[in-house]
Amino acid sequence: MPDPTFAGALADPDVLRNVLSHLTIRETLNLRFVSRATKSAIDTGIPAQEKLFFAAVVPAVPPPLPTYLELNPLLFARRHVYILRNTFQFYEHPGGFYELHLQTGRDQEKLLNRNWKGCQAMLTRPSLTSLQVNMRGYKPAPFTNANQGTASICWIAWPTVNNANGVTYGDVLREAVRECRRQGQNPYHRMTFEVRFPPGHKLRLGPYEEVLGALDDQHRARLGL
Amino acid sequence: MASEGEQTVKLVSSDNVEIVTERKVAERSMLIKNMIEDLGAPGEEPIPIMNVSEAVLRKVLEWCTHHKNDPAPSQDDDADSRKKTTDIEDWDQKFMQVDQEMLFEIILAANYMDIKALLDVGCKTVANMIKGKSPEEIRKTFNIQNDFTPEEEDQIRRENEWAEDR
Repeated sequence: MPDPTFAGALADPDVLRNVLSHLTIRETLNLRFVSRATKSAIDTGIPAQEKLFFAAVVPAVPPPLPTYLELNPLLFARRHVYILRNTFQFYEHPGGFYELHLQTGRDQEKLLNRNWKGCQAMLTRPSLTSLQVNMRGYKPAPFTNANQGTASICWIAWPTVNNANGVTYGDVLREAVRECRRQGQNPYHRMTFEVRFPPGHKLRLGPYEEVLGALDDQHRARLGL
Repeated sequence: MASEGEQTVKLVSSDNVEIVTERKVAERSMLIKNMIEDLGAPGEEPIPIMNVSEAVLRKVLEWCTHHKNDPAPSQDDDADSRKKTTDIEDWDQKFMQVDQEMLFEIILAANYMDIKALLDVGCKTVANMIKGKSPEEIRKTFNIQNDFTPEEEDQIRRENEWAEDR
């Protein structure tokens, strides 16, 4: 019979995912600090998912930034079909970097949608191995586009492997949101971040100094990109 | 012949109590709906609900009765239902005002019986009990013992550092 306690309920991956989907990252981390059983449920529940996929939904609030971000750490890829605009993509870069890419504007939206469809198709494949292989062939949208009123923005973060539970990308996201606000994004638009963790790895994105900010040609040259 | 709405089905709880309910009510559970379709003769064969006791099953059926005329959830609804934690309708909020053991029993039963909307309501209720609380407050709320060693606590604090405000 199932164990009708807090830890017992969270040990069920469906229940865990559902509960966490209503919590911020910080609340998730607090929950992880409650007891060994809840920590274990969260730590094992996340990689047990078929797709290692973290999503973060920023609340529609005007600047200044909130003291915390509403982040949903555990959503399945299939929940992302409605993400059509103001989307950050965070994907494996062939050079070993991780790239956060903001797309804005209608034309870029189309571009993004086209890319996203490709990405989504890959995500629906059951095998994580094939997902990883396919991601290598995934081409990001161009960094700048002459047809756009707003140039896309890029950040590069240097990932390191982490033994913890892998939810260590908040600084990158915060920086991205800050920049997004600075660039005059409509604060009432919902924005969605997506963060992809490679199968079998838990990533730690370092502190701010490892987030290099908007990427210009010099940055790119220095990084050998 | 009775229409589908008027038909009844017999459910048997884990403690072997038989409960007769409207088919329409029971079919809020995808588990039962699929079983009825597989059996082909609703009402005759009792349907065992292995993991759910009588008390919990009656509570779940109470929810199903209240929501029996709700439209079937679509994929979009599924995504929308996660928009806000706080938007639990009044009746559901009252329904979920039960002791914690029953709350978790309902959640686990909803998951087992595949009643997505009830699972969502239950999980939102739990999430609301967690929201804005420190680990110690969460422990108090759910009567949980802190079984971490000081070293483990330090380790987790280090892991959580990135999320702290600067």
